[in-house]
Parts: sequence; C-alpha cells; structure tokens
Amino acid sequence: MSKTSRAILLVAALMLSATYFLPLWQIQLKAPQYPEGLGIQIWINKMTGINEGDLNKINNLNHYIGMKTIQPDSIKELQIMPWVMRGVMILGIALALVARPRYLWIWLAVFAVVAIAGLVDYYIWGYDYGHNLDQAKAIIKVPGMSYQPPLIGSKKLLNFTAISLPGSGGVVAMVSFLIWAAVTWRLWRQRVNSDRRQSKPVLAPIAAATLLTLTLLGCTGSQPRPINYGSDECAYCKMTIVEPGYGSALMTAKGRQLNFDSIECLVAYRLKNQTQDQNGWTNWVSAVDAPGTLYSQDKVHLVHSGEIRSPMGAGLAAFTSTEAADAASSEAHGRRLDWTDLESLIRQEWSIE
Amino acid sequence: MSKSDNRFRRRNWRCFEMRVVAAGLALLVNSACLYAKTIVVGAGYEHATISAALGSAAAGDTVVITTGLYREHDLLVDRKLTVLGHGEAILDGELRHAIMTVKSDSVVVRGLHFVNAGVSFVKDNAALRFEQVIGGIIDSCRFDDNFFGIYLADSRQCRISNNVLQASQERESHSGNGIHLWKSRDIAIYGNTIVGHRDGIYLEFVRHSEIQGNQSRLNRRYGLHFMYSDSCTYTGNTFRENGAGVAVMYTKGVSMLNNEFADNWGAASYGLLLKDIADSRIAGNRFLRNTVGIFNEGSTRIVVEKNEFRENGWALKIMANCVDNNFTGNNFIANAFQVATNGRRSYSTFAGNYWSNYEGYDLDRDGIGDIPFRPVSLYSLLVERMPGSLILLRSLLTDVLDLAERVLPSLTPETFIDAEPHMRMIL
Repeated sequence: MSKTSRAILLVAALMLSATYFLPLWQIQLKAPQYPEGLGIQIWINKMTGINEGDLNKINNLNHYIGMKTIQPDSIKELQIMPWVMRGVMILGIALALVARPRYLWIWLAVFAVVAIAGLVDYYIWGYDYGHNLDQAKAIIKVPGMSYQPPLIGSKKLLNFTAISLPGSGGVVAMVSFLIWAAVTWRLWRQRVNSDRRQSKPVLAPIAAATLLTLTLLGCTGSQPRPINYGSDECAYCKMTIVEPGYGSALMTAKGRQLNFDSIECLVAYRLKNQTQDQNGWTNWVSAVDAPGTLYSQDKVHLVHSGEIRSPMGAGLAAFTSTEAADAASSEAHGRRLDWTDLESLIRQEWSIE
Repeated sequence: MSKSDNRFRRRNWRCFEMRVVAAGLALLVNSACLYAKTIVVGAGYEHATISAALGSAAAGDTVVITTGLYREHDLLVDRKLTVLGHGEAILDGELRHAIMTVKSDSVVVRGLHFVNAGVSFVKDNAALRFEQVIGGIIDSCRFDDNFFGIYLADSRQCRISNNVLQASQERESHSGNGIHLWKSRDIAIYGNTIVGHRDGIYLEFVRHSEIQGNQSRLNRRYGLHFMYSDSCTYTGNTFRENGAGVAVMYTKGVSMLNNEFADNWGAASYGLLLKDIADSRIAGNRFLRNTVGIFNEGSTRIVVEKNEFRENGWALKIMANCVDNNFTGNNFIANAFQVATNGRRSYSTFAGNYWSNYEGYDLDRDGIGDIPFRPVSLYSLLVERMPGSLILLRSLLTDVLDLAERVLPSLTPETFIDAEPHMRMIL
C-alpha cells in the first residue's frame, strides 16, 4: 500500500474530528410567522437551537399539541456519542497505520453500523416525541395527527414545514466515509487486476472532496457558536459567564473557540499570550444594546467609562451603532475608543507586560 | 386613689419624662424642630403617595408606610429619615424602574417589601440604592424579583441585616446581584437570605466589611463574590447549590471562617474559587459534596486549617502557581480525589492532616502515621492531563497504578507530601 493512500486514509479518519465542533444534523421549521426560521441542531454531545432561544420557542409550540418538552440533558445518547466517534476514529487511524488493504473493509462496516444506529435512534426519538402526546394537556387536537419530523427531507406538520438534513459535521463525516470507500475500492481493484501500473488519479476525486470539506469548514469554523450563559467559563478569569451584554469570544485560526465574560478579559488573554502566533485570530464581542449575540469586532463601537459596570470592572462596553455609543458615552461621562486604545488601556489598568 | 390609678399615673409620668428627653435630644440634634414628626402614608391617611410624604418630611422624621401596593419609582430620600413599613407595604417598580435611592446619611429603612425593580443592561437598576452615604440601616425588608436588590455605592458604616431577597428562576438570565457593594467600607451584612440572583452578595473595591450568618442559595453565578476587596471577613454563612459557592479574586487579607460550602455541582463549579489572592485565612469551614472543594490558582500565603472536606469530587485543586500555602489540621474524608495539581512541584506545605484513604501504620502509637502520605495520586495526575480517563474511575487498572506508584513513587510530585498524617479524624 503506497504512502499516499495511507496518508489519505489517515486524513479521512482524522476528518471525523470535525464532528466535535460542527453540528451533525439539523431540523428546520419554516412557517410564515417565523420569517427568520426556527430550528434544532444536533451536535455530537448536545442539542441546541439554530438561533438562540429556538429550543424554548419550539418547546412552547410543542406544548400546544401536547408534545413533551425536549430536554437535551435527558438524552443519554449525546453522552455516549463522543466516545463512540472517538472509537471509530482510533480504529481508523490504527487501520491506516497497519495499512493492510484487506482490513480496510472493517472500518467501513463499523462506520456504517454506527451511522445506521444513529439514524435509527434519531427515528425512534422522533417517533416517540411525535406520537406520545399528552392529550390532556394538548390545546390543539387533530384526531389521528402525529408530529414526527421526517428522517431526511421535508414534511408538512400543520402550518409548519419541517426540513431534516445533515449538518456540516454530518456532511464532513459522509465525505470521510466516501474517501475511505474510494481508497478501499481502488486498492481492491488493483489487487484483482494485479496490474502493477501506477495507480491512476485516485487522488483527484479525493483532493476535490477534501477541498469541499475545507471550504465547508471555512464557512462554519470562523463563526463562533453562541455562549452558554450560566455554564461556560471565562478562559481568562475563570468566572462563569452570565451577562449577555458583555460575553466575548476569540476564534483561533484553527477554529478553536475561547469564551470570555467581558471584553477586558478577551484583550488581556491576547496580551498574555503574545508568544503564540495570533495570525488569523478573530475577536467577537456582545453589545450591551443587543445582548446575546456575538458581533465581529469591526461591527461594534466601544465606550470606556468608570460608570459602566462591566463584569471585570474595566468599564468597557460595546454598542451596535455609533449613535448608541455616542449617546452612552456622553450619558456616562466616558469616551469612545478603538481596539488599539483598548490594548494600551488594559495593559495599564491590569499592568500586563 | 386606687392602686391601678397610681400605676397609670406613674407610667404616664415615665412617658412624659421620655418625651422630654426625646424633645431635648431633638433640640440638640436639630434646633429647627422641637418634635420629630411621624408621617403616615396610605389610603385614608395624610399622604396617599410615598413621594409626597418624602417630599414633605423634615430631617429626623419618621415615615410610616401602611399596607398597600405603591406603584412608585425613583423615590429619593435626601434627608435623614426613618422609613418604616407597617403591615404589608409593597413598592412596585413594574419591571421598568429603580425603586428607592437614598442620598442622605443615617437613614433607616425597615420592614418594606420591594418588588420588580426593572432590568436594564446599561443602568444597574436596584430596588434600594444607597449612594455616597455615611451610616445607614437596611433591616427586615423583603425583595422579590428585582434586577438588583440592595445596592451600596461609595458608602460607609452601613448595616444590611435580616433581609430576604429572591429572584425568580424564569428571569434568572436577567437577574442582577442580590446585595451589591461597590467602593464601600465598614459595611456589616448580617443574617440575610438571598436566593436566585446572579451573585448572592457581590463586593467590588470594598474594604473592612463583615459578612456573617447569611444564607445564599441557588444563585446563578456565586453565592458570594469578592473582587479587589481587601481586609474583609466572612463567618458562619451557608452557600448551597450556587453555580459556585464563593469566588475570591484579586484580593488580599480575607478571613473565611466557619462557613458551609455545599452542593455546588457542575462543570465550572467550586465550593470556593481562589484566584490571585494573598495573606488570607480559611479555617473551620465545611466543604460538602462539591465538584471541587477549593480551586486554588495564583494564591500566596494562605493558611488553610481545621476545615472538613467531605464527599467532594476533588477536595483541592492547587495550580502550580500557588506559593506558600499551608494546609494543616484538616479532615479529608471520602473525596473521590484528595488533591489534584497541574505541576511537578508543590510550593505549598501539608502537615498534620487526616486523610481517610491513608493506609499507613502507627507503630509508636503517637497518633501520627509512620510513613508520609501522598495526597496526589498518579491517577489524579492522569485525569488532570487527560480528562477523558475519568471514565476509568474505581477500576482495577487505576487501583493497580496507584498502588504501584505508592510502592515506588516516581511520577507524582515528590514535594506534595504530608509527613505527619493523622491516624484519626481531628476534632
């Protein structure tokens, strides 16, 4: 087995790590009264709304039809899945290193079993939620109606269209499977034909697939996921992040996300870690006039004032518009500042070398 | 003249005497008025609204607010008054406004019920705010569903006692702190109950204050939170089921005595979180059933003595940047891990503690084990490096590893050692 195919197999196995920070599956609900859409994302270890608060909205809608509330914590599979996926990855890496073409099928089989088990499990949950309705509590009763989301594809449920599709993480996993399958098939054909010609472009489709995945990652990886207020911990000061008007995040070039409870902690973290290569790191902050959303640093306007009580006491707040920032800074006897001022300010205030 | 008549006369006389004394005092204190008036607010009394009563009161007067629902906000107390609730006097901020602000020295607020001070992300709306005052008492009030409950800014020598503050769980993502002190000193916080706020009690730039006998439960972030607040003491408080019990950060000279830190479970959950603190004492406390009893990062010269750590995930997590901390006379009982660290060396000392998993012997019968105890097990080092290996907890493999390490210590930090482990629990 050539070095290239071994490397490709390794890459394919390692691609599965994308499933740890990209959603595996998503269910979108479309209806005229929700122009911005509603939806649930299923990650390897959690379920979240596509937009913040979606899960609550959906649970509220579901109580009209007597459906149980969706409680991600009660779903055991979400705790098991990360380990299963880790196992699949380790098996893949091991097989790629062992590099015996005849064993490559094993991984495909295991992967297929895991994928099918996952889908079956999702179907069972969907069936359970959609059929076991509490008729006593239901406000809207339609005889014989069940509300199971489709396994894949779209379906009308009352006035909603439910669309169920793999998320970006799911797509990456499929691509990984396809690459592995292509290599396996290729090697198998070589063995059958036993011709010693240099393997022709097995690389081309794989390169294309990898590129596709990377683009997908590029599209999603740079966007921070929403902060879980009340449970995420600040990477700089260790405090639990609770104030949606101040929460901030840092995305590294590799797509790792660090959360902070305040703008000052984000800046201090970057100052403290100047030995690292910070190329491609991006800053994201919340605005006090639109709490709960992370904005890229160039979309917000900063104000510094002793009267602003930011979580770590540096008196920094961001606003979504220049007008709001100006109004706030004159009201709080503060001043407007930009990111370079910010660094020198924190350097002085917290005496960071 | 009958006896009772006589008694009556005597009592009357006494009353009169009191009045003379009071009048004399009033004269001394404030020659402008002979008598401190009592002004009553409520339906059918001289004032229907609190703001009218506050406007007409003179310094030294008492304003009594009778039973009723008062939808009034931004009330200003700018002279020395005593404001009392009589019956059920409810002040409602209608979820939009701050309710009462005090800007005069020596004001007493007692027995009022504040509800629904409004959420604001730019202003810290509080039900009751004291601003730039010296002396003042807030006693026996109730606070329900307020953004901030009691807020002291730039004030001194106040007492906050016997209040009950609750914020409901629905609005918890928008609840501020229960008792919030900023840039204040010499404040006494006694016997309050705080439930469901962001931080139960929050201190920022506070000096020389005492927090005693409070109950702080189910708060979203911390039961008690110190930031840059030196030379304070907290004693005999209970912190249960908060996001984390108590956080002390960037602070010097704190005494933490006889408190209970219990049931703080979760990923970022600690009984006590110490970050960059110095010269403090932690004694006589109980740490029960927390994910981490004490999480210690960047602290210097801390004395930790005579505490009990029971049934925690980790009794202690001590990061490598802690220096000169002294752990002595503590009981470590039935914790999944006694001590975890992320370094190879310990710059802290352990001596004379009781460890429930100590397996040594005591041949000379002096109550001290003859072989030293190593509180950091190999497995706990492993877990610190690879959190995933926690799945092997209580497995034969890890027991064997730990045993081998105990017999031939090679990987655990050699300086992490209690050379005088007690054989019995220390009372």
